[in-house]
Amino acid sequence: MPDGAEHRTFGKAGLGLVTVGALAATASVVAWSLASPSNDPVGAMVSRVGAGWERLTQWYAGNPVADRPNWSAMQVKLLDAQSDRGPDAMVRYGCGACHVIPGVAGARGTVGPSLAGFADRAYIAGILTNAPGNLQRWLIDPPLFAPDTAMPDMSVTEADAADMAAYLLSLTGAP
Amino acid sequence: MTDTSASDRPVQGPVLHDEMPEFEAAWATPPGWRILSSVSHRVVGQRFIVTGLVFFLIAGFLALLVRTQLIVPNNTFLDAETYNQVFTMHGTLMMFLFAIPILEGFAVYLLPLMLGARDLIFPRMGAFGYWCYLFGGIIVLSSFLFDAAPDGGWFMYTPLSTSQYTPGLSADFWLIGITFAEIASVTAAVEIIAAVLCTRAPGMSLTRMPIFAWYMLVTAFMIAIGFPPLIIGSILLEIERVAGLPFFDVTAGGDPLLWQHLFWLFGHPEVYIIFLPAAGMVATMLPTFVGKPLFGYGFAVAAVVTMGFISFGLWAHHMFATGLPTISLTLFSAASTMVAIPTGVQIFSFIFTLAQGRPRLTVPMLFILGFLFIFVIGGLTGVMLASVPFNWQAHDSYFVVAHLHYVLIGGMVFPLVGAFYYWSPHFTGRMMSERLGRWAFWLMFTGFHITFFLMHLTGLRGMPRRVATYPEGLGWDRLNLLSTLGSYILAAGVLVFVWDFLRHRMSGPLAPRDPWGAGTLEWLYPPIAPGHNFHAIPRVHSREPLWDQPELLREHAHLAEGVLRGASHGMRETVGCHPVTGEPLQIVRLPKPTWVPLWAAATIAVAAVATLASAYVIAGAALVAMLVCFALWAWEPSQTGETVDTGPEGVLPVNVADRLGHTHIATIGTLLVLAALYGSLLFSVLYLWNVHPDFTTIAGLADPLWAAVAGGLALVLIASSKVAAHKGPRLGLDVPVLLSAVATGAGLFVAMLQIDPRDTAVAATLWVMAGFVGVMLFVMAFWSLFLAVRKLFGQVAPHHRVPDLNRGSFGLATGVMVLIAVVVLLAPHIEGLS
Amino acid sequence: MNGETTLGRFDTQTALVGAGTGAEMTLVLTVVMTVAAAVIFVAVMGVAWWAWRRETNVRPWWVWTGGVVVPVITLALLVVGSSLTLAAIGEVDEEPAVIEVTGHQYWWDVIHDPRDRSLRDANEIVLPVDQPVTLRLKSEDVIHSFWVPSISGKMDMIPGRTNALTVTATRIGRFRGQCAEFCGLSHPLMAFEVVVVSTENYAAYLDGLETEARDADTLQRTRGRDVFIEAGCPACHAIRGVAEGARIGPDLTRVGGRASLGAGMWAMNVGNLAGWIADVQDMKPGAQMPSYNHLSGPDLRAVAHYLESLK
Repeated sequence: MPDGAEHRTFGKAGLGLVTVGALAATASVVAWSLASPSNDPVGAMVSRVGAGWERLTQWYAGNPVADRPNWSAMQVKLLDAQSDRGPDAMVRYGCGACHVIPGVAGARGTVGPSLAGFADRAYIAGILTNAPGNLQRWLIDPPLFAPDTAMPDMSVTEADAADMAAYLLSLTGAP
Repeated sequence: MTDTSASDRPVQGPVLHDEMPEFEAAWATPPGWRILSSVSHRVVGQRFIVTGLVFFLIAGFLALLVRTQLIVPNNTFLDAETYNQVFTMHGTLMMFLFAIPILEGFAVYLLPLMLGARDLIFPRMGAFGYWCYLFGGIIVLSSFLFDAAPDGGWFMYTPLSTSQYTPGLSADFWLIGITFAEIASVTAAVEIIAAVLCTRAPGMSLTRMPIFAWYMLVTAFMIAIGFPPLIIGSILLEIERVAGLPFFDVTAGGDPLLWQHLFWLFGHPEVYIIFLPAAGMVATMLPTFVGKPLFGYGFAVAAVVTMGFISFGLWAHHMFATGLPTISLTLFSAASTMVAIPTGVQIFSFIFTLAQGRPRLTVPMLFILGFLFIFVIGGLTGVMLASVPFNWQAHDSYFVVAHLHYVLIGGMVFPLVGAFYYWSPHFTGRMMSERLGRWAFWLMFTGFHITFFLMHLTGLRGMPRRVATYPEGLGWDRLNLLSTLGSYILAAGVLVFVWDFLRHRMSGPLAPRDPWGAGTLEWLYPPIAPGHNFHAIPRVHSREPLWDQPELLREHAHLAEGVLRGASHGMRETVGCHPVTGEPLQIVRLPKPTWVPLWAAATIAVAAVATLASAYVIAGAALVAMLVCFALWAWEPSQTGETVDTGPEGVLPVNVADRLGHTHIATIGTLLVLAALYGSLLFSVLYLWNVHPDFTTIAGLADPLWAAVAGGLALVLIASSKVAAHKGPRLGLDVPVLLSAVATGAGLFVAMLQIDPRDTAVAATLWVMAGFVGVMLFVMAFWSLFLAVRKLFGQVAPHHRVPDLNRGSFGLATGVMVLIAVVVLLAPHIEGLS
Repeated sequence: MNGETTLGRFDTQTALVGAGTGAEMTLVLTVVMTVAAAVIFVAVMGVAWWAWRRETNVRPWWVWTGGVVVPVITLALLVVGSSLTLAAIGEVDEEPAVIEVTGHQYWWDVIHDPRDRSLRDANEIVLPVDQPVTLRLKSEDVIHSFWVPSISGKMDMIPGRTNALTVTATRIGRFRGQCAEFCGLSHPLMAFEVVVVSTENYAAYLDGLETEARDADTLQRTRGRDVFIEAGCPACHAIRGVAEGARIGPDLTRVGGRASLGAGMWAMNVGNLAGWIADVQDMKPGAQMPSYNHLSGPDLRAVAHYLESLK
């Protein structure tokens, strides 16, 4: 009868190692699962690995990205903004109450149009050309450009508007 | 492995057929599709088990939907309505259509084999119960097709489940379907009580009974008393939904908490009803792998009986947050902790059984160890939840979700999967795979802990149960993510088990006789089922006959010595015993395959579906058809007075007319159920009086004169039915019973006419109480009519006393119920005087 | 309390952080019981491990000890400890203030000082720090349950009954609560915030609840107020000084002053308000309020701006 089969598979020392490893893994997972969202060693690790991978592929291609025009990056640069701060700002201003916005928590409103693939749009609300500066100004005061719009002026600060615009301009591809 | 010398090893080889052709013909399973008419406990038990497994897989799939929805915050995988339907159906299917029926299936299958009976004592009732369960389950599940799946939670709290807040048919599907399916549980309970008490092998006294039978006996009593409150609650709620009577409506003196009391009066024992059979399986399997008998058999029996009693005193710990007075809180809190003691006794009995020998680490054993590990954690968190302040935080949070899954998966699913590995040779004649079994175990064990251990934390971090989604950033995101990933691992483990179960039927290695070296009687025969249980029923001298009576295994099973060797007289018969000593008392004649149970269940199914469709005429017609079916069912020649030569035990009478006879014991069991139903109604009346005394008289009082008349007539009913029971069957004695039953009902009806049930909850409940008594009186009248017709047709000889004996006890109970009703109806008058 | 980013703030809805006497005492009990349970679990598993390895003559007193004697002692300690905690939680040394909270599908009606001044607010409960408060819990429709884990354990709100829950908040701050009894379609979206303030601020807050709503001081806000009245909102919602009496929906006199919208679910701002008014049924399925998607764009903006200005 296979009494103690596990012991034979691993050996005494191996069993000890596996136990210690399992306990350490459990402890780190518990620590991570209890930590507040701002403390995200796992996420940081993943993004570090991601960045390293990107550098590696660039190096492999022997063709640094900086040489090519990257319109999306340039638009963000033009705005002097950080697109990754956009989603937080959008939650704060309640954009999701009216719009579906990929990557924004709880943003599944159907009052206004979905903003998926926004970077591919030609016009903003059918009025302004979809350029970074226009988008930023639209977000700050929509009724200024479209007096009959239902979209209110939400007292958006210039910096937040720039972040949100940068984020929206990073949304490419039809949903 | 126990040291077995070569001479003690079981003799292998198949059961030789055609040894006793008459016997085998009498017990033959009907061929082809006619197997649907089979009432054999092997067939019915396997049907229960397979159907339960299917419901388990469906409910498990629903659980995965729930977990997938909760994998990230603000998820839109399921909308709120679908999510509510999914979690409601998950709980409903798991509790009502998986856990109880599948365990009953094991009991139906195993009990006769363990006890030394040739079939379960009321085979048609078992088959009838199965069809009720199947049809009820189909009705509940079909709600998905009509886009009307119940979405009020498996607990169906009022007033959310009333038609005001849940319009449409969803709640009706639940109430009607589940109540229908519960018939199976209640009939099985009565059947198990009678089977365990009345059909044991010669010499099997109560103290020599296999431990599993003890567990099932207590469970059966708990079902008989525990299910009625929910049945009554469901009936009240369905009447409120359909007819608008205000049982739970506060504006009419009703109370939503009445539902909670009734629900948890059922719901808490239910947990033990699920746990005990599984613990009984553990107590049966464990000694086999240790090679020594269960340590502390007496302890375990005492613990199980204690648990049965205590479990009815704990229900209010599900209601600590409803604003009960402090004194009740403290009492129920203390009572709730007490249940840890009998549980602890059982756990230590199991653990110390291990210390008696050198246990073998087989797959069933692995699952038993998993059970110990998980269930102990669940028990400890259960004790924590008994503390009122802690309960106020943890109640209805994910902590409770964690706790209940530790108790139910640890206490029931793990032993159950172990039981599948252990008894699969019985079902298929083949062994399941040790390798796949270990994979299944480790996947399930790991996945289970990842899923549910974290939920303790999720709950204490403030996440309530039954939420379709949750906002991000509250500290629940990552815990939920991990729980969901864990649930996929758990599901993978279950799938490995299911795959192994399907696979082994074709390609598993053939099982030898008594493959695990067990000591209980079900392993006497080689695993490939011959279709009948015992060519001769051996006399047993111990709890583990196969260990202590080596002669049983020393020759072919069908040659083992015993009573009733091959005897059949063209009929199916088994030995009926004295409930306590186990000494043979009578010969019980058992029915052959018949379609009547299927028809009877089908008529009820038609009635249920017609009620759902508001086609009340069809429903009424179906109920009439049901009565016809029951009459056909009972229309069989009485065989009292015949005798059979059993061989070693001498000549025994057939179907004795005795209070210890099996039908009378079943009558008592049925009356227990009916008394519990009636008690639930009385509880409701008293509860409503107590909570809203000012509503007592608003709807009018019963006519005291007519109520008193009904009471007097009830005494006549008792006297006449007792006289009929005493004097033996005479047509002339049936008439007064029939007339007094009808007259009592009429008197009660007239007395009730002064009360308007639409006015107050108390009035409505009094009407239901009177209605229940009316049904009892109707049964008495129908029964008397039936017996009278039989006598008219000359079917009854003077010594055929069994039906009249049973009706006598039933009449006594009915009369007492009428008298209680009269007292309840008269009480407000007396109060008015004082 | 970090994370201004979302309404859900880490560690504001947990029983593991005490901000009220009830939660604090229960937390101690929780820790003690958890440690005891862990010790018992390890002990039982240890015995099982020993029983597995050893083959020996078992004696009945072992079962007596493990199954009866030890549990009886432990359980007695537990019952005594938890009963004492229960008594301590209910004990207050001064007359508690009274706040009446009524559960509705799916929001909370709040009345401060219900006996005398009867000051209404909704979906946000302001509590004075270090002062006992008795919450009188009721329900208008189905059963709800009032739960602010950081401050106290939960108590059900049952139609036809009034349950009392006495709490004493011990820390100034914002704490999230949520309905803990399944109450229908939008049960998960029925939350609220408890704002614990100093005693002076509490008095000021109560006085504020007696005054009329802030005037509409811009052209747009005036238009918003007019739209509010014309669209029929006062049939359900009251704004003191503008439209009084209605009790079907939350009181909106200081709606813009709340941190959240939709019963503790979304940040209070013009964007969410506009989206809410235009499409309640999408944001909160099953709510009693219909979606006002027939308002013109400028009207919608005006109402949203007006309501946001009511602080």
